[in-house]
Amino acid sequence: MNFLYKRITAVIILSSVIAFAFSIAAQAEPYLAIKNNLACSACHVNPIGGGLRNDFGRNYGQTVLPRKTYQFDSKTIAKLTQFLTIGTDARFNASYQKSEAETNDTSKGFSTESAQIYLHFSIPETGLSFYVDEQVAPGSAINREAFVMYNFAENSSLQASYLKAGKLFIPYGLRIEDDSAFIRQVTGMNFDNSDNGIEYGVNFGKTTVNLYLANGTSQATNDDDSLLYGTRIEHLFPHFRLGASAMLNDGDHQTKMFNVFAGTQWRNIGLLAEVDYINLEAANTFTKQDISQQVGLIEMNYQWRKGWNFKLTAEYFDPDNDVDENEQTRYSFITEYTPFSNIQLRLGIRVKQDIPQMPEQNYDVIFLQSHFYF
Amino acid sequence: MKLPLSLAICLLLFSGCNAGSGDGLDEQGRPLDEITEVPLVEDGIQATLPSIQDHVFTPICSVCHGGANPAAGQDLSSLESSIDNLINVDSSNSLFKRVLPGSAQESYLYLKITGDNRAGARMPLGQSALDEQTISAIKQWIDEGAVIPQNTANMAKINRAVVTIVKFKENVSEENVADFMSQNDYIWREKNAITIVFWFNKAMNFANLTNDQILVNSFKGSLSSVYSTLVSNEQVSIHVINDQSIQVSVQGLDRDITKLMIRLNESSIATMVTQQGQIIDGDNNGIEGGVFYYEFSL
Repeated sequence: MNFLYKRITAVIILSSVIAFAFSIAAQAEPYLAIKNNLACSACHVNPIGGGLRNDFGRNYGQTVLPRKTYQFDSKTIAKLTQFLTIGTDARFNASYQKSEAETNDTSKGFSTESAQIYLHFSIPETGLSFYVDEQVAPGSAINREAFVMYNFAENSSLQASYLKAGKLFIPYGLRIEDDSAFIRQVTGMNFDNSDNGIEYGVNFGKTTVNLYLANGTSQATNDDDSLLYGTRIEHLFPHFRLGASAMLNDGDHQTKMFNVFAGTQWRNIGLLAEVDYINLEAANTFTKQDISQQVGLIEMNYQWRKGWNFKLTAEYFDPDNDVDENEQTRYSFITEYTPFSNIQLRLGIRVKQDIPQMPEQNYDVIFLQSHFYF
Repeated sequence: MKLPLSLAICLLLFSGCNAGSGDGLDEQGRPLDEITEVPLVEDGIQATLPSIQDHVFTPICSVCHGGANPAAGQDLSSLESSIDNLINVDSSNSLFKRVLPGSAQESYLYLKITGDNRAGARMPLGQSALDEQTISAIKQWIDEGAVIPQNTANMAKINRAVVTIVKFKENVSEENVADFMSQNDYIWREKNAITIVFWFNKAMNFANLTNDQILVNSFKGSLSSVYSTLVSNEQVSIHVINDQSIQVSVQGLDRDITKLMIRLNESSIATMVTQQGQIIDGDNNGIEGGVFYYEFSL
């Protein structure tokens, strides 16, 4: 018990000191999966990606991603016991933002973007486990995910499949880390929006299929008699991947979302893209007609050398296809430097453009992030 | 494929899109011919929900709290959805409502926009904090009872009932009533009176409201043997504070009562209506009518 306590204390202190001394990084980075032509589950305990890393993911972040590798037995630290594994992500920002608003047009300062602690309690040889993703900062603790998962035995008729039940992030499209990206923000499928429901996933070799059923009301309890239904399918081809998602949030006013996403790697250049179509039933308060929206993202990653990655993204959002000249765009250029194991620094600039009538939404932001991950 | 060609194609794709010019659109990004409401005449933000909606919720908050799957299930993209998703709705912190009418300091929305540590990341997320004038307007709107416009489709309701005054000794000021109540409830028993303020979410027609429309039951006894008595309407008095709130005082209560229950909008006696004739939704079931119950344990 004393030994366990020391391990927990060591991990927490190590996390806190590094994160806050240096100051955001790779919680969910699909470009890494695309680069290595692997599924998200190759690196993460959660089969749909993000959150706690498994042994392979931890080792990747310790030895492959950084410029300089520190040799320590990460498995020994992370595995508190043979049943219990711990992990963390902590992001700290320094940013400067300037908008076109007439007043209060600039902001600058430091902020703790988020800090998470992950716990995974698994019972050996049963396939049964319990997973918790708890945001511990800023502010009071907020639970992001808490679910029970059952992994069916690979030699059963339900080959390489799992069933999750509880509070979970819905599998939809590319789970990029940047929650402010249009494909994450507009769809609401982001790390700030978990839901209560069940999810079934099955892996047919190179094809992964997810099916889910949830309240459709994000963190709240269900407030209607309807539910959210959806699926995500992804196939890994030899040199690229292709996927699609579909979701129906039933209720008085239905929401339908579809997307296709793809990724490929050529030498040191990784490309990924997603296009979303959203239909909001009777959302036009004036005509009572449906509103259709389109969202798109293209991201290019250039892995210059070990520890260095340059990321260029372009995003597009049309909030109503029937209305002209209301489109929004956002461009980002980010340098990601991972100097040594478990810490990543990101220096980036984002240019957000909206219609001139929305001066607060026309802004540029420069940021420096440090991300401690384990 | 050569690297330069690859880069050139990517950059071409990256530079292909521009934001809309906004031609023919209003300040909410909607076509000008869709405008149904009279435009606001004031330049700055006012402490009213429509003004806050136009200046804050729609242009700033609804970027995330809107659309297909609003962040935290909190849709702020329209006046009606803001009302449904804010007022008296539980927040992610179980200690707070998103908006608790009458108390900004106890409202998660206010804590969020002021960066209070109890509420996590300050809103708007990743953007400049709201200016003081805007924060003040939101605070004032909440503190004044989170009143909503008459013409919305949302039900008229009693937003909140608050025990404000318990008759007390002469040397205790009204300002200290909250502390006084928590520490010295026995004094209430000495003076045998209680005052409760009811906050309505819409401007009400109190012209025909009389004390016999407010039913008060007092309870005595413990869990095993509780019995109630209907308090005489002569012990009940009403003071109209403004269009959205009334003060109900109950006096001459027995010293050994353990609970009070107050009923409003009892249809067999008289229903309460807004200035536009809308009957309040007393039981909060989304349908006009229904009795509003308020219980206060002593």
